[in-house]
Amino acid sequence: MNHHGQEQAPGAPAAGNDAGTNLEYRVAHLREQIAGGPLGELGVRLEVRGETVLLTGTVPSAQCRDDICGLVAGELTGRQVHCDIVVADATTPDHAEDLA
Amino acid sequence: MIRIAAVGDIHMAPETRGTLRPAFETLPELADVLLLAGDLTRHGTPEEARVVADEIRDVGVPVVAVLGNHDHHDDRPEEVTAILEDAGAQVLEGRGTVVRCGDRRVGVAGTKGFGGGFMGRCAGEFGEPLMKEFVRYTRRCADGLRTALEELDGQGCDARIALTHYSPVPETLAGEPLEIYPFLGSYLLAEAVDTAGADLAVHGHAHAGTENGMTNGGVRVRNVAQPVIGRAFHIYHLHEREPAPTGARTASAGERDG
Repeated sequence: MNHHGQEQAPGAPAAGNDAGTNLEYRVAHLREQIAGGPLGELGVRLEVRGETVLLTGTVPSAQCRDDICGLVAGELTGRQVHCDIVVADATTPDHAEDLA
Repeated sequence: MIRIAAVGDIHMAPETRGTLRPAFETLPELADVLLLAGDLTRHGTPEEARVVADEIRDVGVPVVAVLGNHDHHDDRPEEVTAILEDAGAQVLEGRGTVVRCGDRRVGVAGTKGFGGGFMGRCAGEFGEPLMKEFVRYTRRCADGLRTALEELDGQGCDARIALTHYSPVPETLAGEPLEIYPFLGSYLLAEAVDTAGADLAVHGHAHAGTENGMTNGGVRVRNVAQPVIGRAFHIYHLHEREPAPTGARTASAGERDG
């Protein structure tokens, strides 16, 4: 697991705050950016857990994982980001399923 | 026994070149055919397709594929298809093929498929033109799958497999958020499989889903998205069908024929 950024003091934005600073909206737009932008990665989940953002999923390469984690950490500077993204396993299977 | 290797969602790009080749080189010892269940590239570019082509070229077993939504992203699915076929793969969309596995014949019918959702919780062909086209497109994919399976039924196959990218059943989506199920598959695909009959349905697309499922007609479904199976591919051992009594070829076909 990687940790990016630093934890910010808790405190939800007050009603009427600029939507651009709302963590939920920022994370929603980041999801779209990761899925629809150059990364093209739809298999990563971003979830807000209190003051922390959790990234999970499986991606095809370490570079892809690092690109996503770096992007999120950069966009959410000041927030704690946990990157639990793993790289797909490309080993040969050690057994078969019998569909009798 | 027929040995089926299958994987989907390998999402290859130049940075992943060669990562699957070592495992694929073991295929002749383990399997009779390799099925690729779409999302073979990250963005559907010819450059990425060439990476996939190098992974599967001369791999020692027949390769049958469908494309996925990622393979359409660059709007050049025909080029991606041509590159993969140049490397020896058969890329199916609304058609089938018969693969020889020793002295057995395995029919594979394929379509990418599309979304729309599942029975009682699905999109309808109503309202805005975009909405109607969304559902009609899925219906065309399902019709192509059904027709291909029916054509294979008349070609003396020892087993028939439905290969899609999108899921025919909700069971293999378990683990994904319920809210996105309509974007992950459609019951129209399962209806096509059950109407025409098949011995196995293989799909990808749902990375956080579950491997095992079954259609209402009793056809086993396997989600072979690489993040789900956790390997370069999975292997299924299929047994040839017993000669069925007249009027009861398979449970699903029996329903169709009444």
